[in-house]
Amino acid sequence: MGLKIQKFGNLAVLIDWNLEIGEIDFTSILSLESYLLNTYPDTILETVVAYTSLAVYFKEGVKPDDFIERFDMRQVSDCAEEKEYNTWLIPVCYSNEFAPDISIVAKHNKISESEVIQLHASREYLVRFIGFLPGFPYLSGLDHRLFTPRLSQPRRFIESGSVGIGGEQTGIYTMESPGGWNIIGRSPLQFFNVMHDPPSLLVPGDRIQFKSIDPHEYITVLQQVVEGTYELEKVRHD
Amino acid sequence: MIEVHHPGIYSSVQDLGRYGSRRYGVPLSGVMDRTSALNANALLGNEEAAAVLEFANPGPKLFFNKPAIIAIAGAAFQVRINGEPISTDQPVLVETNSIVELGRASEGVWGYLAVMGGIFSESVLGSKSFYYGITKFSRITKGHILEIATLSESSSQEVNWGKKLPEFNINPVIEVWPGPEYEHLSEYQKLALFDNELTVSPQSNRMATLLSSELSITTSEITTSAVQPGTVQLTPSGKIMALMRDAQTTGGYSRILQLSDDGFTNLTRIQPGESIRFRLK
Repeated sequence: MGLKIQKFGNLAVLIDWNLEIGEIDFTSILSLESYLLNTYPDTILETVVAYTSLAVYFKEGVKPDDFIERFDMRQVSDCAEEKEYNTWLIPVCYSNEFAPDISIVAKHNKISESEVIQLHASREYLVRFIGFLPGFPYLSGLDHRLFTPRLSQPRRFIESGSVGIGGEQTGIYTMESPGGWNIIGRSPLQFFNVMHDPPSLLVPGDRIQFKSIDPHEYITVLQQVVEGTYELEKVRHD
Repeated sequence: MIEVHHPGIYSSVQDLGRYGSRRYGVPLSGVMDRTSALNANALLGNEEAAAVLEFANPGPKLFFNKPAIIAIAGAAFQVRINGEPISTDQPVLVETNSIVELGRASEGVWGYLAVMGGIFSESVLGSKSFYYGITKFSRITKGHILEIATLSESSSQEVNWGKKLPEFNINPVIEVWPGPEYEHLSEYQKLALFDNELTVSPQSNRMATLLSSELSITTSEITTSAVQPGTVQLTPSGKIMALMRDAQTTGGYSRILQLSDDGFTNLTRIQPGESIRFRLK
């Protein structure tokens, strides 16, 4: 079907690549996003990236039909600029006190709990977009040996920093929230802070890797985060 | 300042919303019934974006420790100042140490109290609208203090004394546009959607208005994509919900319709248990 642009209410358009999550060249969404933001600063208010689509929200008075008329599909291929993204190391304590559902994930996949940790922390994940909660990263790259159905009864309260697996996805609850994913660990980092610019620690296009830490390290990092002295580690590719 | 003696339910400080952070998962928020909130601010000569107190049925009980000029708009709430019923379609002077009590709304859902000069509240990411995890408070509670302008400070501002609020209309015909997945519906489903009445459920809130009906149309989920206030979703189990101001920025249900601005305002005014009908614009 290919790329499709359509009106989304009277002050937005939706650009949809019409591809499967696994098929799309993810960078094409981010390149088009930055191209549009740079080219139409007077027209575009903000954008929302998702798995295979980009929503463009306009400023008051802009007519989506005019934008659609001007929009040239060739722009999409022309703006394939390569951007540098970071790979961040995210400390996670997979210890039982933070991992009420790790046994469910292990049992469902017929592996041990330490294999769950090893598999989860050995991969690099791509931040596809932020949604659900402020700062909540939708990640791709979960090992299929960790796929686990969501809890049949969602929890009413999940602690901030909890790392979960829901179906074929993994993610981090960036603030206290209800939720139905299997919780397998917790990160001491603060993923959303309104005083920071941007307020979200992770942004679309970032890569992350989880690093297993013990409860002592968890406390140490948590203290540094609270004091504002913690420095996020970058993964070195050598 | 205003001290909250009784918070009512769903009372919060709201302005026109928090724009520019949706990419980071931050909902827009802002007043549910924009027309009414703008009317209240206009009566007082306030800026359009001045923060107001939003409340639902029953409303809050507020103590003013200094004089203020207020305007109340939106749903038809009974209002008493120091026990005396007052008419609320025009600016009202509240004297020092007065109690303003918002009772029940005979019509509509959301009410707005604007204060001349605005309500001072911390601005976070460009907005004063309360939202859990973004602002310090997500609701006002008993004992909450709302800082307001002192009358003399805002003397250059012109209050529209004698001007009356436009009538508060309730229209259960909700105007919509096709949503991104509208064409996924069969002709029969489209017909059913516009031919049937839908009832507003009591579980509705600032995040979504849930609509129940006899019609049994369903559709598949979509790859998670952007949603916005006014997006009407249809779930695989046949539930219909219209996303409201505190909606998430992305969602995985089919976006079958999008409310027009008037449709949105009209839907905010429908009480739980009452029925609506969608009409394609």
